[in-house]
Amino acid sequence: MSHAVIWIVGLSALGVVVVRRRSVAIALVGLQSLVLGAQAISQAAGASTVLLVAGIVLVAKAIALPALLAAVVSRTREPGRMASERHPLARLTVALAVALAVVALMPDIGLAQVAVEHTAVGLVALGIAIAVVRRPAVFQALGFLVVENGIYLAALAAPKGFPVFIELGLVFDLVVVVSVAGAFSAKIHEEFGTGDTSLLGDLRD
Amino acid sequence: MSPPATLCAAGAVLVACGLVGSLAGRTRWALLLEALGMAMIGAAGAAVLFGAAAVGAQFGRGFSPAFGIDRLSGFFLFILGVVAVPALGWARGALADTPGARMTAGARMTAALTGAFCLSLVGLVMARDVTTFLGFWELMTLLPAALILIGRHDEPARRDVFAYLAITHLGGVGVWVSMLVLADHGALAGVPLHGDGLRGLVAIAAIIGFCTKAGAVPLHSWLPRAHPLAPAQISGLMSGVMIKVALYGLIRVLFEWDGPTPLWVGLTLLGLGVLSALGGVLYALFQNELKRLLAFSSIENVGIILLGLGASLVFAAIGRPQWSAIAFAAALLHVLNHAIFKALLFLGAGSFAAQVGGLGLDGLGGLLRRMPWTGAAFMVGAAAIAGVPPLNGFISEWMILQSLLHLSLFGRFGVSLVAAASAAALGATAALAVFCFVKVIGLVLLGPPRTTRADAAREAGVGMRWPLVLLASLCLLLGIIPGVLVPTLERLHHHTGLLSVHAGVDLPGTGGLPALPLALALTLLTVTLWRSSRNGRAEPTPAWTCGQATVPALAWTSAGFTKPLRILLENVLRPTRDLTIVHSESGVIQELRYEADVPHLFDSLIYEPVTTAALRMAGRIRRLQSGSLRTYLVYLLGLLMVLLALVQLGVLT
Repeated sequence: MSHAVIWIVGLSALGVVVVRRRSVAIALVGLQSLVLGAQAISQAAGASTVLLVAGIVLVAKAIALPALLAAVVSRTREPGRMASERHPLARLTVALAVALAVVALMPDIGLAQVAVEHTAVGLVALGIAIAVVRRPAVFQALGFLVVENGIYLAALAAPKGFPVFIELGLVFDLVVVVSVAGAFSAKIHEEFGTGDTSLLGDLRD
Repeated sequence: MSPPATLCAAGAVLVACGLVGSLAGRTRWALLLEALGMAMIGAAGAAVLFGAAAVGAQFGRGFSPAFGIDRLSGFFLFILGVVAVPALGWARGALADTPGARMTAGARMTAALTGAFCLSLVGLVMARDVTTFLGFWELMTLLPAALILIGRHDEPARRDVFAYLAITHLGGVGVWVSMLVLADHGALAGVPLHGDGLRGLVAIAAIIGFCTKAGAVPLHSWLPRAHPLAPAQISGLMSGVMIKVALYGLIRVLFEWDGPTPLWVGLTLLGLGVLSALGGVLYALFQNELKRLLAFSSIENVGIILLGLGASLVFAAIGRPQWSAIAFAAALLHVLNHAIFKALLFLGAGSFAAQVGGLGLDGLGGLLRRMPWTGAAFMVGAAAIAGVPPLNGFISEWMILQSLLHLSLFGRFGVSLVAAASAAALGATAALAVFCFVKVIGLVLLGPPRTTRADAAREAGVGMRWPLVLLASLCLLLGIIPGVLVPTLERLHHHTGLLSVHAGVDLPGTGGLPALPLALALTLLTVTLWRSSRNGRAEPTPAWTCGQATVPALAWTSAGFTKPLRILLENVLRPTRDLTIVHSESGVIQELRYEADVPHLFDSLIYEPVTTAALRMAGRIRRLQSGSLRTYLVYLLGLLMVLLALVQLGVLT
C-alpha cells in the first residue's frame, strides 16, 4: 500500500477534528472513503466477487452516506459557531494524544506493513476522539465512519483479507447507524434550533 | 423404549396437551389431562425408584440437552406426582364449584402455567446436562411469579413478587457458579474435583444457591412473601415440591459431584438447619394469617431436612457410613412427608378461603363442624406436621433425632457438642410446632365461628374434597408402614442395604420404632377415651366471664394464645405494641384499640440494611450515567487504554 494512501486517510481524519464547517468534514470523510475504496478495487483486480463487494463498499461509503449527511446538513443550517466547541488546536491536541497513546499501547496485530497497522489503529482511536471532541450531532456519525474506515484499512492490509460477508455486514451496519444518526441529527435540530448535543444533557431525569 | 420411559414421555405429552387445551378454553379437561400426565410421570419415577432400570441419558460432560431418570430423580418425580395430582385435581374441583370462574382468561392462563410449572419441575429433575438444568432452574423460578401476578395486580403483591425474584436470582448466582464449575471440570460425568479450594468454592456456592431457593434461614425472606400470594394449588406445589427440588440440587452437588465433602460442610448444614427450624417455627407461631403461617412452617421443615442432610454429611466425614445412610434416608423421608402434609394444608386453606373469603386466623373458627371432610383432613395434616404419632411427620423427625443423638455419641468433642445442640434444637422445634398447630386447629377448626362468613361456610364439593382425603390417607399410611419405604431411600445413598423391609423402622442401637403397634395402641386409646367421654357427658354450661355475656369476641385470639411465649422471648423477637384509647367518657375508657406485631427481624436487621446500602451504592454509580454519548465514549476510550496498558504490563497475557 502506497504511502500517499496512508497520508491521505490520516490527514483527512485529523482534518475532521479541526475544520469548522460540517460540509467540509463530510467531504474529508468522503475523500477518505474514496481513497480506501479505490485501493480496495485495485487490490481486487481479477477476483470478481471481491471486486463487486469493494464496489458496493465504495458506493455506500464514499457517495451514498456522505450525500445523506450532506442533505441533513443542508436542511439544518446552524445559526453561528457553536459556543460549546473547544478551540481547534485544543481539539487537535486531545485527539492526537489519544490516537498516539492507543497506537503506542496496541500490541502487534500482524499486518504486513507497520505503517498501515499504526494508521489503522490510529484511525479507530481518532474516530472515537472525533465523536468525543466535536459537539455537532453530525460529527458523531462522521466519527463512526472514520472508525469503520480504520477497520477497513486493517482489512485491506490483512494477509488474507476479510471475508466478503463481514465487509458487507459492516457496510450494512454503517448504513443503518448513519441513517439513524442523520435522522436524529435533523430531529435534534428541529427541536433545539441547533445540532449541539451538549444541550441533550439537560433532558436527563 | 423401557416402560418407565414410555410412561414418562406419554405423561409429558399429556401435560403439554393439557397446557394447550387450557389456552384453548377447555380448562377443566385440561386440568384433568395435566393431572393424568403428572400421575404417569410420578409412576415412572416410582418404578425407577423401586428397582426398574435407569432411563435415558446419564449425567455427562456435554452442553447439549439430555434427559434421564435415575433412582434419586425417580424419588423426586414420585413426590412431584404425589403432590401435583391432588393439587391439579383440587384446582379442577375449585373450578367446578365456581362455574363463573371457569372461562375467565385468568383461570385459563393459571391452568396453562400450572402445567408449564409442573413440566419445568419435571425437566429440572430429569436434566442430565448443565444447560438443561440451569434452563429449567430459571423457568422454575419465573413461572410461579407469573402465576402470582395473574391473580394479584396490587402494589404490595407486585413488590413481594419483585422481592421473590430479586432474592432468588441473587441466590441463584450460587447455583450457576457451582454448576458451571462442576460442568467445566467434568464433575457431572463423574470426574472428581481436585483441590480443596475449588471444592470448597463449589460447596459454598451450592449451599448459598440451593438453600436460597429452599428457603433456609437467613436466605428465606422471599418465601413467606411469595407462597401466601399464589393460588392454593400453586402454594402447595411451591411449598410441597419446588423448595424440595432445590434440595435435590443440593443433594446432587454435595453427595455426588462434590463429594465426599469435608467436615465443615456438614456442620454448616447443621447450623443452617438449626437456624431454619427454630426461626421458621418461631415466626410461624406469631402469624395471624393461615397461609403465611404455613409458609413459615415450610422454612421450619426445610430446617429439619437440612439437619438430616447435615448429619449424613458429618457421619460420612467421621467414617460412619451406616449412620450416614440412615440420616440421609431420614432426610429424604421428611422431604416426602413434608411435601404431602404441606400440600394438604395449603389445599385445605384454599378450601377454607373459598368459603370464608379470607384466612385471618381471628376470622375463622368452627370449620370442622361446617366442613367435616375438609376439616378432618386438615386436622390430620396439622397433626402430621406437628410430629404427632402415628402420622408420617413423627417418623421422619424421630429418625432425624436418632441420627443427631447418635452423632453426639460417635463424634469428637466439637462434633458431639454441635450434634447435641442440634438435637436439642430439633426437640424444641417439635414442641413449638405442636404449640403452633394446636393454635391453628383451635382457631380454624374448633370453637365457635368468629365471623358470619365462617358461620355460613359449607362443605366443599367432591372435587375439592378427594385430594385432601387422599393426602390425609397418605399421611396416615406413611406413619403406619414407613419401613416399606425407608430401606429404598437408604439405598439411594452410596452405602447401601443395611435396613430390611418391614412395617416399622428398626435402626441399629435404638430398639426400633414399631410404627404399626404404636398406631394400633394409639387408635385403641383414642377410641376408649372417646367412648368413656360420651358415657359421662357433661352438661354444657357457659364459662364464668366475670358476669359478662359470653360473646365470640371473648374467645381465644391468635395473639392471645401465643402471648406467654411472646413475653418469654421478648428480648429475641422484639415485638411491638400499640395501645390507643378510641373513646372515653368522663375519664372512663369505653373503647380502646390494641395492636401487636412481631416484626420479621431478618428483614429489618439483614435485608433492609443491605437493600439500603445497595440503593445508596446504585445512586452513586448512577452519577456516571450522564446520558451523553460523548461521556460514554470517553469511558470506552478510558477502558480501552487501561486494558491495553494491562496487556503491555503483562497482566492480561
